[in-house]
Amino acid sequence: MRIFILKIVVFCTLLASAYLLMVNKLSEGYVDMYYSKFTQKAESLIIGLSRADEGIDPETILNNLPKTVDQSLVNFASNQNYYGRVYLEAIKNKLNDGKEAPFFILTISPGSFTAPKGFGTKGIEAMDTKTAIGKTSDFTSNPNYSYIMNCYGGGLYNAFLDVDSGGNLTSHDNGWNEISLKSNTFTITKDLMFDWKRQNLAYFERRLPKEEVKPYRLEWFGKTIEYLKNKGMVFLVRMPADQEIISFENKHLPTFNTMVDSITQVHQVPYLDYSNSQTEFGTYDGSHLYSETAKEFSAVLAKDMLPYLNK
Amino acid sequence: MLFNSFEFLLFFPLVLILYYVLPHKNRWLFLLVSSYYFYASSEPYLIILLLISTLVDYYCGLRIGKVADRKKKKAYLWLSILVNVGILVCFKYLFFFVDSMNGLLEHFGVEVSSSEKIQSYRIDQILLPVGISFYTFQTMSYTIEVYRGNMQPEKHLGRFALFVAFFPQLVAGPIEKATRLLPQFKKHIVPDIQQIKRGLTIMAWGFFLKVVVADRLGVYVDAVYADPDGNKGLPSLLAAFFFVFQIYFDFAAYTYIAIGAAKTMGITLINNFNRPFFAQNISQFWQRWHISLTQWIRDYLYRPLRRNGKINRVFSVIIVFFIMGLWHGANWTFVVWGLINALFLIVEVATNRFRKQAFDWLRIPPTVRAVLGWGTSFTLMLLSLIFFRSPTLADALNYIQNLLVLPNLHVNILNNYFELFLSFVLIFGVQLVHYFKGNNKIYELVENKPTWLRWSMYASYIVLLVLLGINRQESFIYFQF
Repeated sequence: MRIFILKIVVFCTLLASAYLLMVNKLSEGYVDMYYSKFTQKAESLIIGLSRADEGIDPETILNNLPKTVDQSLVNFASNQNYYGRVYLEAIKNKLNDGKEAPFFILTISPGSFTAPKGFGTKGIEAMDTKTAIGKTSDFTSNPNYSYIMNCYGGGLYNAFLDVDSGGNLTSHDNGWNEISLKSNTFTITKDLMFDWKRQNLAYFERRLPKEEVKPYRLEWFGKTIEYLKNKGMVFLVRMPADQEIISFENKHLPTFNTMVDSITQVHQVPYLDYSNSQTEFGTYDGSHLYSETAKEFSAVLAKDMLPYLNK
Repeated sequence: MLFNSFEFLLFFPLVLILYYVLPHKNRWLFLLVSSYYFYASSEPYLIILLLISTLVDYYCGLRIGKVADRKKKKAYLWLSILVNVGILVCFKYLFFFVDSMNGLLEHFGVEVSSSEKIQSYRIDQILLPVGISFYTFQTMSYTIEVYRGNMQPEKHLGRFALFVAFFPQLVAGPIEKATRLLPQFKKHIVPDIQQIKRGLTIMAWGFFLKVVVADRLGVYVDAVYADPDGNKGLPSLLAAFFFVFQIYFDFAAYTYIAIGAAKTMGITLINNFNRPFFAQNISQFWQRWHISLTQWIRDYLYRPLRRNGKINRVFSVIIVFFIMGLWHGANWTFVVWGLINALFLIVEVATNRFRKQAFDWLRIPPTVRAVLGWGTSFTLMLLSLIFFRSPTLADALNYIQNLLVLPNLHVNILNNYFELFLSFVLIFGVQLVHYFKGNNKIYELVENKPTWLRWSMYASYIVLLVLLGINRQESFIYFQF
């Protein structure tokens, strides 16, 4: 029996060691496009869905703001981060109680407040809990083993592959996911951009009957604003997108602007709406800005924020 | 608690060690507390339902055994059935029934205002208690067996409670009969290294199936089902194909872990699978798939329906598969899935003689017949499982339409050919192992092999599990039932 137990212990030790070694090996290279959002404390944050994830570059924002403004800005937006209890908890865990005056860019679109029809509070929370911000308890460590063990969705064999090289996506340490139109291996042509926009519109059309705006999301959006207002300056930003996409959103949720107006009045926060912007920022698929336009937009956004930050 | 969670990896060894350290007379209590902890670790308050079901059936069993009057025995049996089915209806089906009724009324032009709809019974208000369909069926089997006189009522409440809540098979079966499982808790079990080794090997195979194979297939399936209209044609067909194996490996994985964990404690659970996708017809498939449920349905539903001859075979099959479908979930998709299988079975039995004559006339050799039978039943199961996986009937029909869109051959929707290739290799590899070792002798893969070969296999297992494992900690599909 003693030998048997010893063998079991050896086997388990080998298994655990191999697993931890591989987790560590993976953490030394590229993990996935969200990993860099979970590896540092932050005082200022960019919050929202994928449009903000790819469309706002923290570095450009900071370059266009005076040095007196907090310099630890992280893009904490992702395509899974809908407003709710889970996201607010993640934000709380992400924030560092620093001395600098932080600011928070809360991006919104009609999609930020939706969930599948028939889902109530528990259903939505259960859904949110299954996302990366719900699965991990560690939002700041580097390397972040908790993220890899709980959220990484691929095989650990990827640690031996150079997954990051050659793609159109660059994940920056400040959380920004930059999409380049040209890479070593692939070029996003005008035709492809047009095709992707068509596909996106068709996808939105298909999703529309299955989703609805949820009071739960609006309530927690309000709570998120209130929490962040106590820490620093809060900006609501409606991200730019292709006019066809914006028209689609406005057509199917005509009350969105009124809804946001009332939110800004209740919470007394500035609202910067770029949905009907005079400057057209190019997108690669109708919804998301690419490298150059993301930087352009970030610069414009920083300049528009400046008067409020100087107050 | 999930089997594939870090929590379980600590929980199980601790339970196993203490189980053998404790004297026999205290083991039932220890296992019962462990089982309740296992269940309560996810939704603590839902354990109340488990306790209600346990106490009612314990009481009913005792009364059935005590009273002599047949009518009174029957009354206690019905009390047990009503309480268990009542729990199922309230916590699993009420919203579905109300929603279907509202839909029906609206279809016939009756205005149902939202205030009249029973809004309180929505999925957000009532979370489906994990394993409810499994433990209610298991505990009902006890009162039925006592009523039929096949066993004496269990007087020891603790052991009976353990029979209902035994953690390895509590949340997703196999659904054990009281006649098989209860006596095993009374046996004095001494540590048997060979049994423990076999149990651990079976568990290891289960973890491999779940983490490396089922969850990997799930990534592709989820991506296609999330946007079926964007993945028409071959991607839809491939996802349907993958789903057949995803659900099989996922459920089989759970069963392996359950059977293995029980075996390490000297308890033998029923085998739930017998190479189902090698079946050459639908009848064979249902004798090989989720065996514990089909046996339950056969013994406690089909045979009573057929016994007095009032209901003919066709209607009995329809009723049985309707119930079987509904058992899986409160959704019309499951009901239709069940009814489609009933239809397959009825047509198969009805055309049996004709097909045999046709094959004889055409002089088709037995091997070709077997391959044709296998291919047909696999394709039919693939199609029926689309209803199983789809959220609504409309989605399922739409998905089937999408299969027919031929021009789209872009199957590499995850932009990872290696993963696609790996998925096929793993399906093939696992099926090969199952073909040679069956579902119940997996431990023979390592047993009685030379030491160097065994340790090489252990090392390969570690490497494969660590490198190829998908880290999603996804719950088992059958947990939702």
